[in-house]
Amino acid sequence: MGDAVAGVTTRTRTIDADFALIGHQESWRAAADVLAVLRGSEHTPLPDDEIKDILPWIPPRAVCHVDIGSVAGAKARGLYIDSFIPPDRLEAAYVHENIARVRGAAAYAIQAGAKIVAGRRRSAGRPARGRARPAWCR
Amino acid sequence: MEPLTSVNCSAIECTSLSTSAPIWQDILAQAMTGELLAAMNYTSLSEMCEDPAEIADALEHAQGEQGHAAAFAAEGRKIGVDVINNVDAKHWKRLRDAFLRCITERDFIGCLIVQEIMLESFAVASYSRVGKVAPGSLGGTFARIAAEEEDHVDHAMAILRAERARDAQRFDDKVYRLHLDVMTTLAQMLAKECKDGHCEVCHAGCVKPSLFEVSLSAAELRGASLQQYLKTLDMLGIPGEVTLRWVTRLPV
Repeated sequence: MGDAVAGVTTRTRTIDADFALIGHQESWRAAADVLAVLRGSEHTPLPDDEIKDILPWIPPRAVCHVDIGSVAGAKARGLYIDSFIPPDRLEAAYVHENIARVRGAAAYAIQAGAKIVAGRRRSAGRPARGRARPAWCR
Repeated sequence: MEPLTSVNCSAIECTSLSTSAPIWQDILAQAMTGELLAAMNYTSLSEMCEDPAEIADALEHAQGEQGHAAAFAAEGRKIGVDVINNVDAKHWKRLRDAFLRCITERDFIGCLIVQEIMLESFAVASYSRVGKVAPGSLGGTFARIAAEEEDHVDHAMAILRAERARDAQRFDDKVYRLHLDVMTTLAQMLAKECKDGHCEVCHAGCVKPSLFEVSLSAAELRGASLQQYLKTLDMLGIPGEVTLRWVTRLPV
């Protein structure tokens, strides 16, 4: 990573990102945890039925920043962009809708000025494992 | 076997509408109230403006919204219902009061944010959904008015973007302050159930539990409205991660 961040410069964009990671939650529990963090501890958590109603309408967007550093001391700043694919719509029947969401997430990454964009592909046949939010999220 | 040409489509539509007419009556009442409130807001805005061109523009918008209200009333008459309106109903009155606070502060930009970004996002999204499922001219009217309201948003966008370019932090702080006031009220209006009692617009009980009978739902109308709002804020250039936090903190 040391060389990869050597050319980082200030850009006149809404968000200044070196890289973007695109993903989605694979269980409603994980999605609920993400929304609970965004909602803040001062607000009561959203009931499960409300989460299932609201999440599918959220357009792809950044959820948090990711700061990483190399052993050589270089630093890079990135974004985690959630495509907000509903966890119950991961099957082939929703492929077109989901591709549109990933494209929306990619457009968001471009707008943020990210030079590198990566997404996590779900392995076929592997059981879905959700996580509250990526451990590297601040 | 009767020839196909003898099928009376309008009779079928009329029968189907007669069973759902009370639902459409309440949907039209909410829409008509929103349009009349918008007309009042633009009239108030015209009284605040000094530039003759801005005054004329605001009055033209007010007239347009009056026309939309009249169109909704006419659609009600076509299906045999009286469409009432109540701009003093609790949620709508709070929305009007929020706008009037901007007028009192002579805050032209605040007025545009409330009317064009927040209220119009709700109108564009909900009318579009209704336009897709409402039969005949009723659906056509909702779809046409949704498109006209979208033009209003586009018109305001250039002014608001220029304002944000001058001082983004100050602009975003103002949007957030107005969001807490206006969008909290809209979120309560759009909640799946009216937990705080009657909305004072529906003619009898709350229409929300009956919406599924016309292929709609309160959750869908809320979701579409919030999505439209987020996309409109994106167009203004406010960071998506910030607006996501705003929206997830709204009451449900």
